[in-house]
Amino acid sequence: MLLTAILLTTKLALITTLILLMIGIPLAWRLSVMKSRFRPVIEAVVGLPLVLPPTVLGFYLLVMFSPDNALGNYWQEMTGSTLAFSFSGLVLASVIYSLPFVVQPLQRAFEQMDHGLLEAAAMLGATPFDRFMNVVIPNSLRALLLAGCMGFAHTVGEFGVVLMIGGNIPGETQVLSIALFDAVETQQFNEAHTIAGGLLLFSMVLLVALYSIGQRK
Amino acid sequence: MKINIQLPRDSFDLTVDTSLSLDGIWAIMGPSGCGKTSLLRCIAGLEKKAKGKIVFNSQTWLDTELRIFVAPEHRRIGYIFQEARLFPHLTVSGNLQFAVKRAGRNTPQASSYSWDDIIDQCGIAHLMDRNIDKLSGGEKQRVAIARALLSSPELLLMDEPLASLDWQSKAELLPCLKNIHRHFNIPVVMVSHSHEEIARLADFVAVMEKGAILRKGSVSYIVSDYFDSQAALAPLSPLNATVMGHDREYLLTELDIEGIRFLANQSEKNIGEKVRLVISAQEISLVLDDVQQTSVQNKIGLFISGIKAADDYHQLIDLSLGQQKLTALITRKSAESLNLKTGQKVFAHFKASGLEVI
Repeated sequence: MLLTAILLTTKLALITTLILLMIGIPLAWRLSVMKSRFRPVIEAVVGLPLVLPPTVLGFYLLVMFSPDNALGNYWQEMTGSTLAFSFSGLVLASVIYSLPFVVQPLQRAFEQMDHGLLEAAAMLGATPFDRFMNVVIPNSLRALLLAGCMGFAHTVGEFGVVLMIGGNIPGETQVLSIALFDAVETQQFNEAHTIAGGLLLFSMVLLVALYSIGQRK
Repeated sequence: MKINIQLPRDSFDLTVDTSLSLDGIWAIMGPSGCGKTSLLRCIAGLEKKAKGKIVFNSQTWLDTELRIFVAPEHRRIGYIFQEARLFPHLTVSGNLQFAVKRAGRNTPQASSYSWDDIIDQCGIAHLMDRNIDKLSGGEKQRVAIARALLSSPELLLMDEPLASLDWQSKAELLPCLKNIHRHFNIPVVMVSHSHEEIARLADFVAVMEKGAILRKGSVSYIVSDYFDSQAALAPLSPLNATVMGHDREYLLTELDIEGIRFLANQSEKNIGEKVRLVISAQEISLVLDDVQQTSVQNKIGLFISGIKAADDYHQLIDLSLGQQKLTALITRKSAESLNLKTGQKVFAHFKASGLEVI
């Protein structure tokens, strides 16, 4: 049961991180070059999960996932199952919940990017997409690694949202943080110690690694 | 190239309506903040707010009325920035490959110049595997020039390419720039505020002030005139010459300017090659008689075309040399005691070592 939770958590965090990078990289770039007055609004929406109680986010997601609403209805027609209490729902929620942890470090790195290099690339014949892929990305590898790790770690650590929309289904939605809660509830303290200690160790190792990357400038 | 553009700026608007011939090196000169760099950036397409019209050869790069704006990456321009702007994530060779891969972007044929030729002209063969942060300022600029050439441009724009370098790197890179223009026969527009650079490199000069071009023309006239008004006491005379021969015994090179023979210290140039000569006005003394017995190698009879005060105690004497001009600086005392007048014939004396061959 513990192994199932570990595998599920890892799978969730990996898929979420992958999707986050695919959304986060272009979003962070757009934000970094955006001059529109809507920029603070978009930044606020992206940053909401930083300040909002996870249960609030979970509640609204639960409402959206309901087959009475457009998203839930569409999903049910497409797949035949509900989004709530499913792994897919968990992925969607995690993407929203961890978005700022990926977008913000990327946006900061892109804002510090030397735009003189992009002008130089343009004069050498590179189109905007070419410039982004071959100048911006290779010069932001450290930030990409940081953003990926933050997204991964934060997804592993989420609890409130999962509790609201995922429940506690082993192999489907029972991630490590839920399994820990469950173990304590059922007074299985040995298992609780294993999970809690494991998560603590994992977080510590990851953070030490991240700060070492940050230092090596 | 026809340019008719307006670009709003904080202090004043850039308003340029001019045409630049594409058969030499143009220098845009003027005080800092006069809009030189902005003009260059407009030509390159890097100033998106520029309005008006730019036509290069038969290609329209900008026509606001017709809503034409050719993106910088499609203009086939090599741009040398003041800071080399090399890509830090690539080696020297990686930077050059970046340009080569994108060189054939608009035309089916690949780079018009060969890789080896460009590497050779820029003198960077030994740097290929280096990282960018291991290069000196001069080396970086050489790589930037090679990179620009490898993108097979039809026009080279240079924004004070020597400004950030120490004097030794400058002295090495300056002849290199001149050679590149000669060797690849590519039109160049450069921005500079240095009298020395312009006299050595430029064929034509456009003088800018407060966002507009005040004057333009051949370097032999514009450079000294403009800097006189800035009270520069040592204007350089830029002269176009042809190498006629080498005197191996005395290590001298014989040159021809408008049919007149000059001697300079021996240079590496080939016979028949077109070169730029530069001589400082301070190097030239004026003699009324045709004195033959003197140690000075160059004794040339010329007519005075103009006399101007450099400051209260010095005068600049312009001597016409066919279509070109030689300027001498003498004291006001000498000018008065020799009773010099416009149209008078005098003999200009200067040492072979006073002529710099580029």
